[in-house]
Amino acid sequence: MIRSSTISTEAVLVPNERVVDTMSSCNEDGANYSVLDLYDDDEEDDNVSLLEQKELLTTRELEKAKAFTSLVMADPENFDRYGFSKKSYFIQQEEYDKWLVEYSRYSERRKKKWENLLSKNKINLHNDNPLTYPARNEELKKFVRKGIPAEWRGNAWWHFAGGQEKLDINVGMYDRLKEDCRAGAVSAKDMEAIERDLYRTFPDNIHFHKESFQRGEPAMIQSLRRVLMAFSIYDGSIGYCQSMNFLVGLLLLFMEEEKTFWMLVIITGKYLPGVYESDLEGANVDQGVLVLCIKEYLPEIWSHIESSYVNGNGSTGQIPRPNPEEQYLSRLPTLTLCTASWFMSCFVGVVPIETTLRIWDCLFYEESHFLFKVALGILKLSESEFLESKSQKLFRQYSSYTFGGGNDADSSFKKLKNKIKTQEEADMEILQVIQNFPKRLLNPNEIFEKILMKKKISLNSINQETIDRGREYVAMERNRQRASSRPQGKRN
Amino acid sequence: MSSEDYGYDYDLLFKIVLIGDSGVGKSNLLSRFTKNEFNMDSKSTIGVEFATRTLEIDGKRIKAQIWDTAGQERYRAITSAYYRGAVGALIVYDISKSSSYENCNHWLSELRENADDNVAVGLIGNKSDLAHLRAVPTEESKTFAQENQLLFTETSALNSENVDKAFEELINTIYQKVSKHQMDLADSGVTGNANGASAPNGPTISLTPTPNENKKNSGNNCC
Repeated sequence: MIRSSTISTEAVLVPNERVVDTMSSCNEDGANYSVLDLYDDDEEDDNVSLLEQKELLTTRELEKAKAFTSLVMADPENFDRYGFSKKSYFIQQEEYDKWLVEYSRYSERRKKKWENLLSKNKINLHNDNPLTYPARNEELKKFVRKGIPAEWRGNAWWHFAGGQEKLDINVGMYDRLKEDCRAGAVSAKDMEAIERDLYRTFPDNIHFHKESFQRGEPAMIQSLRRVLMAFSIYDGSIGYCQSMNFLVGLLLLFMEEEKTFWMLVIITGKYLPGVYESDLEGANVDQGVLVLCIKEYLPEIWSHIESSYVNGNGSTGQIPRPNPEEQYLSRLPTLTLCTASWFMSCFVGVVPIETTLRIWDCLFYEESHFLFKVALGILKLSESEFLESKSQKLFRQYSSYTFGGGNDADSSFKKLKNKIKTQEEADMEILQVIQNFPKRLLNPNEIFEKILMKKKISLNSINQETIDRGREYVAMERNRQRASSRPQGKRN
Repeated sequence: MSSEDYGYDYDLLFKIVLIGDSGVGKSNLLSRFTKNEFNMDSKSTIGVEFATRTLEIDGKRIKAQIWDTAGQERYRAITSAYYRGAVGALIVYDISKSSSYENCNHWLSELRENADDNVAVGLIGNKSDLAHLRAVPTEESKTFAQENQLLFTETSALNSENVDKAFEELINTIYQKVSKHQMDLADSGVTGNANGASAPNGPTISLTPTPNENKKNSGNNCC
């Protein structure tokens, strides 16, 4: 567990002086943040150049970085500081170690800046785990976007999400709920579903994994059970919905049980309203909003989606029929089979853990519109890969048709382009990319610096109001379409 | 001839969906068949995941694209597109858990309602390694499968028993259907049809790579 009092990154990670010198304009009175942090720092280079990276990847650096992960861990070689296995099907140990060296230095540097920000605002560091933060402003938002120090996260999330306010008006409730659970208030259905998911939440995390030598259940598993059961009776219209286990699991690594419970209440009620209800209509609405955003910001992917709604019977040469007005809101595109779970789990398990945590920093500070930004950012980043796979395929088809390729094949190439791709194949390509691409986003700055913090990229104009309005519109539209199509009978 | 492959050098593409209660082992059947892997503690699946494996039948390379989704009932509401274009389905239950078997009826009607009429269906009793905990007699499932014209196999994703067999039988059945259809249709377009979601008058099953969806109305009402 990440407990601030046990952690001092300074002890294990000595900042690289060269970097500090170039990145910060330190002075004695504590106004020790980078000038770039104050102004438009889109271009700030928090990643060291490639050449430098190579140079720095010495054994010593690696050892240091590993120490950074070993604070709570018996096995820092294989597990990260949160207890997650470093390797995955998509990430090799070597790649991980290389990233870790780089990212530990980044984190250390960011933390120094946070410390300076807080001391400038006369906020007590409270034994390396501040309880409060400056009032909201652009500068603070930028800090949050660049990552909250890992040791501070629990309290920072709690603070930004307004957890204490929620708890203050509900003092004692969590204890009462727990008692009710013990008295048998949880429905058999929810209880069974929760029990089944306890060990299926983070099997790759040592805190949630029962080793053969362990006698009882891990404490984390017990907490996970209590929070999920308490929530199932707290909000009967939700009960237990799969994916909440991931939210609770991750929260528990950063804060105590009761706080975790109230954070779950905030996520399910405020950030993702209706998403976990028994008809998951909120999830469908959010996917509708995402589709509208794609339409506006990601034309390549949109054109793919759109083609599945017109009568795209390419091989028989039928003329595409006009699209019934926004049919894609009631009959969501195949792509949303993947993206719906991104939202429901708030990206837990979708992207590697450090990237998830960076997203959560912003979720609690900026609310749910940030999830949409991330989703669009990931789609944007994967777009090139998607296009690449598309062109590779075209190339192969083309080569086989032209026996190795000739100069005059351009027109046949064009013909082929229309011919070979069925909608299902295209769906598969895009889904395959979208399913696997995020799992390789080991370095959060890959998406944060390239997409989310770039002013040039227009999706930055999305704010909470845009999303809230979108949700209202999509919900209405879905209702309307449902009502008008009801006489025809079957629903699915 | 296995493992995830991203290539496009195949002749036919079959989309196959896995359905069944939460915890019956859908994800492990998928990983056993496509990657030959099994996880004692796998994560609960939310949303939809898929993987592929390419097989050869009659000298044709067939790419089977297997889809896996959350078993929890409420997830049906966000997975209506799950069945789009599926030519095969495996309804999975856990032989040690009778409720998961009893729910197969429900899964079957869910499938019939949402998928193409010609979809090939197999029933799978998974976790056959848990023989000492068996709660569903083989004969009973066999009868149920026969009555409903389903293929039937008992498998163990844990020890691999019959996993390949179950998938291969299903793929073979699909292939037979498709080639029969192909002959019926003579030569109308070797490259297959795009299955635009709103294509209204397509044949029930196209010659591949995928069938046309013929449940347009139900699709339009989905939510």
